Amino acid sequence: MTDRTRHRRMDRRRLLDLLVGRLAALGGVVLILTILSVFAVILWVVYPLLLSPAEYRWGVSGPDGIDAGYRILPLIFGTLKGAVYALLFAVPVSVLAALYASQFLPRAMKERLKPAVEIMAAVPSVVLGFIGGVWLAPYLASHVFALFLAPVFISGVVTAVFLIRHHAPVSFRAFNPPGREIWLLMVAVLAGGWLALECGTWLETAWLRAGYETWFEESLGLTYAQRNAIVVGMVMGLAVTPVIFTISEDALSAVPRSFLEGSMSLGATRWQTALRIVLPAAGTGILAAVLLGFSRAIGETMIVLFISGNVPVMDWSAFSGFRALSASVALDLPNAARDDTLYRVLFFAAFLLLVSTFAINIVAELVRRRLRRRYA
Amino acid sequence: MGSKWSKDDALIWLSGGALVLGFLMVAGLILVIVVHGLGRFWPQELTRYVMHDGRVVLGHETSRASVRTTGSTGERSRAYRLRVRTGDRRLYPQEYIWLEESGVAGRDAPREAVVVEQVRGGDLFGYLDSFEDDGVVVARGYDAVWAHYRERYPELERLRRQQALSIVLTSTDGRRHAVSLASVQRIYAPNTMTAWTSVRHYVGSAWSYLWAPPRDENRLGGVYPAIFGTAAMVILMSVVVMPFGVLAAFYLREYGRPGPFLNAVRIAVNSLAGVPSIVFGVFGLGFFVYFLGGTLDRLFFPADLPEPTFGRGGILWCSLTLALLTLPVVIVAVEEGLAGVPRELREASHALGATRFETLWRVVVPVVLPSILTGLILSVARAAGTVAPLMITGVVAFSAELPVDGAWPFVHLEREFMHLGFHIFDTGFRPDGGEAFLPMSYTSTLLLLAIVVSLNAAAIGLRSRLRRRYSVAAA
Repeated sequence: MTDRTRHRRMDRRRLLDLLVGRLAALGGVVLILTILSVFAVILWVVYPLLLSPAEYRWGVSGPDGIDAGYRILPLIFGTLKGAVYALLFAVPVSVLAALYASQFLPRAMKERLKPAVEIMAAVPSVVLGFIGGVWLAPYLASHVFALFLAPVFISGVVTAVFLIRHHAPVSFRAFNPPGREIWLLMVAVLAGGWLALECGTWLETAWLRAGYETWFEESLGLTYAQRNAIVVGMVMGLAVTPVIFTISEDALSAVPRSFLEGSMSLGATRWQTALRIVLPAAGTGILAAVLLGFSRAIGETMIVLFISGNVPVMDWSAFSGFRALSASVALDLPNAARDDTLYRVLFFAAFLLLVSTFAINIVAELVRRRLRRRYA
Repeated sequence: MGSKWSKDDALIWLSGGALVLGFLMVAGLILVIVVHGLGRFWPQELTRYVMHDGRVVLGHETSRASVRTTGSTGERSRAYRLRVRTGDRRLYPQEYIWLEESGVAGRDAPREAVVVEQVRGGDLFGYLDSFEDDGVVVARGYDAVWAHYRERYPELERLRRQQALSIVLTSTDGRRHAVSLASVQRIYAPNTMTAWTSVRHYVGSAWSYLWAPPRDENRLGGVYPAIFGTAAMVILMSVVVMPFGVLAAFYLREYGRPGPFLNAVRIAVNSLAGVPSIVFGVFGLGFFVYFLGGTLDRLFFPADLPEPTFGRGGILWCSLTLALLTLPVVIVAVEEGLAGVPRELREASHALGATRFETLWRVVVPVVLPSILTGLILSVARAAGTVAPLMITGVVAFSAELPVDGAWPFVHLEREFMHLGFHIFDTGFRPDGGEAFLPMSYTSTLLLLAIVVSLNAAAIGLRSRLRRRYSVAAA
């Protein structure tokens, strides 16, 4: 091989290397352009609205003098209401679960838990929305008392099982050895739920004359809509639980071992350490997790579409429905003619969703970065 | 650990309860879907309810609801009402009725009760009366008609075109109703079925659910076009998203020099992952459908304007929208794979004089190939389960045409298409009269869930095998 051919070959190799490098960089440029164009395209449609008086933007009246019949404010309210109820359910469940998983669950169990959470996160929201709207909402409507009794009964039975287990003779330990507590817990939770169901039905029959709907109206002044904020909260809560759980669990597990050792050596119990040392130390991480869960709940479409009832009412009642921005876009945009007022108002709704989730995600990312730096 | 217990241990136990509760709730909801979805194809026994007031009802119970009643003396009790499906409205006034359980004098399962599945319209429940050819009775009575029908069944497809043949059903109240053989999908007598024939019926129904086109506004028939549409869209999406995702991941891990640009790309990936799916749909409508599609129409299909060709929702725009949505999924999966490649491998390659590209192509890519596959599987699973953005970029509840067929140019990128997830929405979200659609939507929900979960399980399995390989290599 002469020197010249070797050089030429080298050049070709370098050229290919350079070319692929540029191509990869182009991939990066395309990515940046993509996210920018998402903003640009939506803004392009929205900007005539932004320039016009505020009442057009909020859909109180249209620029062409025709009322688009669209009020944005109740939709914003609905979105917030749905997200708040989802978090009311998801935050206690997922943060407590993450605390348990990170501090008290045996390693082998935790390894098995991870794929299960991942599968749970993968359940499509249309599936959750469908089963929530078609099965859970009517079911809860006929078991309202059980719904209220459930938290009390489940925690009661779980505590009772704990006491039994604690006071039981040692031979019981062979039945449910340490490290396998989770199976016993499963039985306890199921038993609590079943008991709540039975007692709720019994109570409703024995106590109320004419069914809970009438009782609700007469005694509490509330109307019970079958598709309401509680059902949305439960189902959307389940949808965001994996998000909050995973990130909180990471943050809680990242707390340095020395913190735990220091706390325990000073005589703190395992729970005291978890609650007073580990939880605060991972506080920012959990905050980030909750923020991300909130942003997921804001943008969630199919679940609110199926379960919220899509009625634009503005009250915080747990037993009434609402209409969310995302559901409105999905329902009404297919019927909107290009460039008319409704079209622009719905793009504005999407714009609000985009901006708010974007802002929340950035804040969450900053919070997480600070946490990472602290323990790095 | 003595017999004395502390409050602390109880609280730990309770926090474990929260973990279990979340899981059990999801598991419970999934169980409901599985039970309803799988139970649908099993032939349900037809019950004859004889009421105290002399009414006779033929049908099967779909649910049992409790109602509170107050007796004449003021005592309260609980009564039950049965939701009974009585079949298509052509034979009885309502498809679903309520029966007071206390009003039922007796019930039995008459052997001669049959279900007539119609091509159009719901099932008819009744008794076989006679078989007619052009108004002339050929056979009369259950056994004769049944034998006649069984004899003709193999050539049912051909007989459909003959309007003359018909089967006469008697309703519970003695009315006669002639069903033209042209509109009969099949007839079966659930009360005489053995376990074996029930299984055959089940498998046959499940099979035709998967491979038949829908009938009667998606209420009956199969979901083949929806499965086909979902698959076609997902394949189209993968073709777009995989090269971009892999390239972007290579840039982030292999080529990019740390600096503001790399940071910007990383921020872009994170932001893209956080954008709600419905917003992608809005973007897809504004950019792909109206801007790109409108431009394409002006350039290549000006003859058809103002009728849009690409300037309306279609499978191409849906797949591009979902490609944006799943881009972060691919990037994250491939990046994780790249991060797991031992540095020694790269260093050895470089030391032997290989360029970066040669190292990437010959050393790194073969190692991360499973990660790329993981990214593909995860993005496909994500895309198959996403519905909201499709609702505004070109999915339809019913379409007679498939996006790929035998007509030139074979692949019709501009066509609207059916999607399994949207099929669930269409059949499950009906303001009124939705009850009759629910069996269909339960089955479709189960099918979608099974597809998405098994794809994810495959990805998880693949990844854990990969991790184990590296940990062995590192040890």
